[in-house]
Amino acid sequence: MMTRESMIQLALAIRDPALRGAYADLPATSETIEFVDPQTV
Amino acid sequence: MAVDSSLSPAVRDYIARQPNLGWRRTIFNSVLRLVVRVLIDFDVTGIENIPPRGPTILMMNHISAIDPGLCMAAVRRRHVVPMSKVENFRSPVWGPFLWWYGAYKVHRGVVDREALMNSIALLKSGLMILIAPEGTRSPHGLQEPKDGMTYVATKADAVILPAGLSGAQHFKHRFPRRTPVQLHFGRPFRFKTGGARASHAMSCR
Repeated sequence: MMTRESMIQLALAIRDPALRGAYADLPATSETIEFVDPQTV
Repeated sequence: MAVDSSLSPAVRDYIARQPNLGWRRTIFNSVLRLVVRVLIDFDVTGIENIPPRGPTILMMNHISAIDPGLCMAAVRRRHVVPMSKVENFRSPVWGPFLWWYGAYKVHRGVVDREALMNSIALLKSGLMILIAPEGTRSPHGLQEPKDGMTYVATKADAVILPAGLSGAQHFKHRFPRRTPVQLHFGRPFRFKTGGARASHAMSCR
C-alpha cells in the first residue's frame, strides 16, 4: 500500500498522461502517507 | 558530519567524504545547468515543493538516460546525490563524472545491501538522494516499482518528493535540436509508518 500510494503521487506529478502507465487512472489515497510542508521539514 | 560507527567501513568512508564533495557538486551542477540550457527547452514547475533541507528522496520516473542530470540541474538550493547502476561507473562517458561527483553504485537485480545502507546513511545525514523506484527506464509509462525506495524512506524517515518528467524520452532522437522537457515537482510526503514497523513488514516478505 505504501509503495502504491507513493507511485500514484509520482504519476500525478507527470504532465504527460501517457507516461503514467499502470498508475494512470488510480485514485490518490493517503492511508499510509502524509503530506508535509516543505518549508518546515 | 557524525558517522554511525555501526556502518560497514565502505559505507562509513563514503558518508565521511560527503562534506568534501560539496565544491565538486557545485561546479558540476553549474556546468550541467549550462548544458541543459543549450540542449533542453526546460519547463520546471513545483519548485516551491522542494524541501530546502532535511532527509529527502527525489523520486523520479525514469524515461531516458538524461533524467538524473535534469533533476540535478532543476534542484538549485541543494545538492542531489544520485544512485547509479554499477555498469555506468565503468562507462568511459559517464564513469568519470559519477566518480568525480560522488554518486554511489547499485547492483541491479539483487538486494544490494551496501546501496541500501548508503541511501539510508546519506538521508540520515540530511542529504537529498535521487531514486528511480522502478529501477530501470520505462519510457512508455510507469511500471511496478521495486521495494527499495519504500524501505529506505521508512528507515530514514525521509520526505519523498515526486519528480515527474515528460519529454526527455525524445532527447536521443531530437539531438542536437533542443528537446522540450517538462519537470514537475509534486507534493512532498512521508510515510506514516515508523521505521521499525516498516522494517518488520519488509522482513516478512
